[in-house]
Amino acid sequence: MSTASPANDHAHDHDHDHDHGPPRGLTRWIFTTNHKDIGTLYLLFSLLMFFVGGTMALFIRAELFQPGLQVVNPQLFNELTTMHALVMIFGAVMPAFVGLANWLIPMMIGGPDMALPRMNNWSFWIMPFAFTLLLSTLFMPGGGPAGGWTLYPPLVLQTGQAFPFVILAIHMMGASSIMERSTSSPRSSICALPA
Amino acid sequence: MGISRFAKCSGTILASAFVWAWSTGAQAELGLNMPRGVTSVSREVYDLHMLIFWICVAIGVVVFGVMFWSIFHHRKSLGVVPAQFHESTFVEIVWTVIPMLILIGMAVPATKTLVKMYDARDAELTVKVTGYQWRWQYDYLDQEIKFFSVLSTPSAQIRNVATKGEHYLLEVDNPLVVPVGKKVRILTTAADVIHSWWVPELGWKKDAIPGFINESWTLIEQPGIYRGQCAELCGKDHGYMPIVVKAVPEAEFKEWLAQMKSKNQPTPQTVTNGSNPQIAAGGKTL
Repeated sequence: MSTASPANDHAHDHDHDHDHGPPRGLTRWIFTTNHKDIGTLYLLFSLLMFFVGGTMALFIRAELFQPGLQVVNPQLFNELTTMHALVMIFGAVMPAFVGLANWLIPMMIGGPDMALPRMNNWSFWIMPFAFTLLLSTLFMPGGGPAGGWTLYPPLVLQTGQAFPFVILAIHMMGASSIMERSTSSPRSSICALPA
Repeated sequence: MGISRFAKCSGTILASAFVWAWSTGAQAELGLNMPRGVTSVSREVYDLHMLIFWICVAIGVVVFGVMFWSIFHHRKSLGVVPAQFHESTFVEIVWTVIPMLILIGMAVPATKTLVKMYDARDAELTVKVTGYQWRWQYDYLDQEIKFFSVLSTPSAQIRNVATKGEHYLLEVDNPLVVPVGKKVRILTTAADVIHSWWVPELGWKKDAIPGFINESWTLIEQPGIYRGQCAELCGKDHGYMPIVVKAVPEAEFKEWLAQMKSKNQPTPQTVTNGSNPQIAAGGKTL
């Protein structure tokens, strides 16, 4: 509305219409409640994690290219296998779906936004912290988790000092995912529809 | 014209690929399929696998055949008008009953084999298999024979310093020895983390879980050496705890038993040869 006729706008809505489009710079992305912006963030994050997990897969395949030990030692091999799965599942596949859901659901149901826009923002911004924590475990004493992404006990209990960090990181991903489900489930989305 | 030539050509290629894949020679050469194995159970498992595989192929051919045929012959450029009907009880009954019959047809033979696999009664020999990080222990429960089975591939081969042997990473110092033609009951458990005891030629694998004992059995018909691996990620040396089963004729097995027993129970002379007789005798005699 403000863009329709700037001169007119200035004259009439001088005091209360300061809609100058989305904020510029970093704060636009950090504080955004726009479902398309959040969808874009999710999709970009998913792509980044796809490359991180894919690099791990390349190491795994390089090691398996020939019998015998070539590139990585068995412990690091298991860490890469475990991390590859966690990164691909929680970091690439799930955020990709969430990104598409964020972009499409409001448009498909004719709603103005997701059900709980601020929670939507939160659910994304937990992810970079969760994955920084998870990936940092590769550099901790004893290495990252190496018992497979299902984290079966008792094998997972043999993880070194990284163990509590892995558990916390996965809890953060879980929290993010629950928040996202809350905003994008059909039930919540219908609540966001104009009456 | 071009399309029919393409169809003929690809048809010929597909048919020849099919015949080639069908021939057991090609399967064995490429190692694509599971082995038929050396027990009646393993052959039943193989036959089940093939039966279900061909059912899947038939379903695939029918479903995709109808789909592609419909797409091709009912395309818009031919001026085909879409049907406008909704709901057909007849079609719904058909597509419920047919899959149901297929599923029952698969479940009946599969359950028969499963029941057979779980029936470990009347075994003539029981071996307890315990998974450790990273070795197997075999305990012949009624024979008082108990030993570890450890990878025997030299580390130089793993580190690419020496050329790799024929059974690289599939060889052990002490194999599990079982008699041919006798039902052997195998109890699997583990001492630290979850392992899984898997010999493909026997047709099954069994998880070895700490605190649990899983029961299974085998009856090997042909003497021979059958190799397997741990099949549950169990830590850094998961790939270095292979399984070797040596099936030998009854007489040879008895000989091996006697030999192992004499090795296991040291004679008094060897005991007192130790520097500390009390420790060497295990506190029994003194």
